[in-house]
Amino acid sequence: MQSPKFSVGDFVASMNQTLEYAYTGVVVEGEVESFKVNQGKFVFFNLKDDKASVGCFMMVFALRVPLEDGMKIEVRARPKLTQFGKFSLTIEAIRPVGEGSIKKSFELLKAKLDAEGLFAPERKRTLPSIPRTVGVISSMQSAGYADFMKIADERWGGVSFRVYHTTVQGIDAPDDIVKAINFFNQLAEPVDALVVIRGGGSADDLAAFNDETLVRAIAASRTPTLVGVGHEIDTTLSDLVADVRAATPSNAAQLLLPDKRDTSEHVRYMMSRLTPRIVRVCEQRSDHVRMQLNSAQTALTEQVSHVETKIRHISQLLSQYNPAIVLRRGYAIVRGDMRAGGVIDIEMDNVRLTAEVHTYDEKR
Amino acid sequence: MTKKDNPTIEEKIAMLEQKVAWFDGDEFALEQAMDRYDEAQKLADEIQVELADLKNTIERVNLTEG
Repeated sequence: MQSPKFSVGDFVASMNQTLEYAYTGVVVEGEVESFKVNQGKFVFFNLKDDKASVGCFMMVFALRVPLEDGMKIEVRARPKLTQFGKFSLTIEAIRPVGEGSIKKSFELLKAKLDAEGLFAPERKRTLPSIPRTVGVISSMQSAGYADFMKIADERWGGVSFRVYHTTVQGIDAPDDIVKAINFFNQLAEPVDALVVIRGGGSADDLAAFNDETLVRAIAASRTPTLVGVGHEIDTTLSDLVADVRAATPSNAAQLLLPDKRDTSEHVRYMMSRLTPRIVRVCEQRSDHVRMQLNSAQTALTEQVSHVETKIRHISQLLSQYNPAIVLRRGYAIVRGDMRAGGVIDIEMDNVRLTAEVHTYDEKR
Repeated sequence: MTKKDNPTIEEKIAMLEQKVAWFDGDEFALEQAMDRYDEAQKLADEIQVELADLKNTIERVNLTEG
């Protein structure tokens, strides 16, 4: 059998065709080595393990997680032979793996986005008090989604939930979620709130929510966002950039919707205040009438007492003019002929006398 | 049908709050209190019924995917 003969260019092209046919996309895990960015546009690094090392290339705009030498990552890439005969991986997506790398990547990206002000409290918008339409981005098969819907149904009704089913972990999850965010933001009739939820998982499972493009998409959302990812102890950059952060999917439902039991109680409470209010006003009116009556009665009593006092006083005064009382004080009434030699009657308190006038002199 | 003809439950709650506020306000008149009370009670009953009956709806928007 004769060996095929190529020009160098054809050989490289043929090799690339074979590679493309055999490996439309590969996922490779390894440690970053010799990371560098050339001309602000091209990213180069090696991916290595204890047995081998392979060169990697990507455009800087596609780099969605911060990289540093020593970080352990998983890449989705296309293998390629360059025109210089060098074998490399053209990277399509990267995600850090392992607790140390995820944490390192998280801290680097957090510092970068924080410096841009993406997490600033003044950027946060409030959610509508009772949303009518809610966009939900989640995996409909996940426990987190089920928890969210269960609590939402318990708390409130009449909400139209429009669910965009996505993957919520793995290398494709960030793009899926970004696509969903864009879908909701391009609706002619936007939803009132956008909720991104995912239940608990390992740091590796939740790493998708630390993707820079996803974080920026949440920050740029026209619709107010609520993110509830993982358990209470988990924090992702998507949580930090959201308008409202929920500790869990269940908590997201609690933050999004009022509790109809509380509302029902509030309505009952409002009504319960009305009857006492009416009764209170009736009592106030009754008290007022009673007070008026009392005042009238008091005034009348005072008037009567005043008249009685006056009558008593006049009566006492009159009694002073009673002749009998004057006689009792030692005076006498003299009647008769008041001339010398005349006969007069003298009436005293307890005796009557008849006497003859001995002298009669006018007082001057 | 206009929004006024078919108020939402939030609007009904706001209306009830307004009616209840009348009882605490300066415009309160005992002569009108019973009629106002009946109106408020009717609205409160409507709200309670709606709270019990309202159901959420779920629609998957990307049916062709996943």
